[in-house]
Amino acid sequence: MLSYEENIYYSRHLLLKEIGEQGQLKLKNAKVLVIGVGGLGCPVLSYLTGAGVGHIGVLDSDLVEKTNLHRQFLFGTSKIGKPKTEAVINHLQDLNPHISFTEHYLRLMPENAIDIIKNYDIIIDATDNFPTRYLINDACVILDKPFVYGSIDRFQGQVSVFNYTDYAGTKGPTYRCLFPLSPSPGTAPDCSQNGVFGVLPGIIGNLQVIEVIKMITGPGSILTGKVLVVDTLRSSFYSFVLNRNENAVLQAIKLKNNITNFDYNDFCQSTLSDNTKQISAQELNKKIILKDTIQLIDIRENGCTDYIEGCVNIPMSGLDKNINHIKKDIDVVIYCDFGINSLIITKFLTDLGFDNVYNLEGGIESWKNLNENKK
Amino acid sequence: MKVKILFFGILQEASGKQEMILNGINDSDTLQNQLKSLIPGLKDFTFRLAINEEFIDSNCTLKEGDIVAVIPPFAGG
Repeated sequence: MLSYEENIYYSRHLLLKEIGEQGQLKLKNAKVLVIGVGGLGCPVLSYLTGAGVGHIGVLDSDLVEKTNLHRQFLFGTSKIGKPKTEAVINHLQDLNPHISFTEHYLRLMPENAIDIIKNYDIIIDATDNFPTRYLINDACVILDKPFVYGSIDRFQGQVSVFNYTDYAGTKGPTYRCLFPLSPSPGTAPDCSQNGVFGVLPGIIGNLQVIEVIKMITGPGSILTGKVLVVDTLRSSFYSFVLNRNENAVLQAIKLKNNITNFDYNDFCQSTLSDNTKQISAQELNKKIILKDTIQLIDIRENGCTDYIEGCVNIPMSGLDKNINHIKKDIDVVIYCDFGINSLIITKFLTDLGFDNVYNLEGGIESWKNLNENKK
Repeated sequence: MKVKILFFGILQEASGKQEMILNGINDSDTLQNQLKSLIPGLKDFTFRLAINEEFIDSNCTLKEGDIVAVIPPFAGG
């Protein structure tokens, strides 16, 4: 039964016949784990708390940073440098004193994933990296738990409920059914490399919570067998039908007794099988100080003012017509803003037979950071 | 026969386009090859194709007016 105080707190939910007292009690008895307290984790945790999910696990190993604040609104400036889990639980407990939290101030690893996840009914993937995302997928498949996936890229997001068993006992697809293989390093940058529209995680995180509340209380239909893609610049929601792929699911099931032996970092690097070479800003600086003869190529479109001295500008769009300007007898370093497009071009040139071409890791941004640190 | 291609995520940056129209392509395998030859570096990306809002698992015939979405994984959270 709900207490007098709870009846007041949840009164606007209790008025919805689709939720009502029965639904509110189901929420109270539910255990939900949120993995990642970042852009997605903040709205997810806020609305799970408001909805009255009785027990919430909060998992993250990071400390609050200044760059988090524009979208991770549960942290004030006074929390910078504190563990995210601790900062967020203090705040959430104040928002709703009727529920409880478990702090998991750690990184989800194959060694701890099963022991943590088994204590919860529903898992929310609010992570920012592929090794953890595949680990959540596999642990949830092994434990037969549904998980609500969300991810973001600049102005767009993806949402789906994975590994969900419907009322008829039919199992829905998993993350491995969507992407059986992790992307090559550098081809799927995160928010720290590629930027993120501050309000976007608010939209995607709230869509994740909507699915959790429906799963617990029952009304409507669940976002299973479909991937919702939101594009805030096109102001469009796309819903793509996705089928379960038993071969992909099997990749998770076969780890049932040996998940701790599976190297998720290695799995997510394994597609970098070619011989594309990279150079760090420090190594490049050393080459310049030693006056090594190198060719520096800026592949950004014209008009950038923050170039590295001595570079030539060959914009990416016209590069295929200017291949003859790229030297073959000395080392060539390709750069752009963040080292993403330049990695693509470096691979492209390596495949053409240039074995002297290097990508500047982190792009001009890492070069600028290096030079700022020297000041 | 025309089909419309919609790019998502980083593939908008890699292709320099949000969308494009391609002519005279009869199936999704041919489309994928044509995209890879038009966009240097596309072969390094992981992506899934969806025809008219349904992910495809194998080669599919295309018809006039089909919309093909090219969707990569997103990292951020």
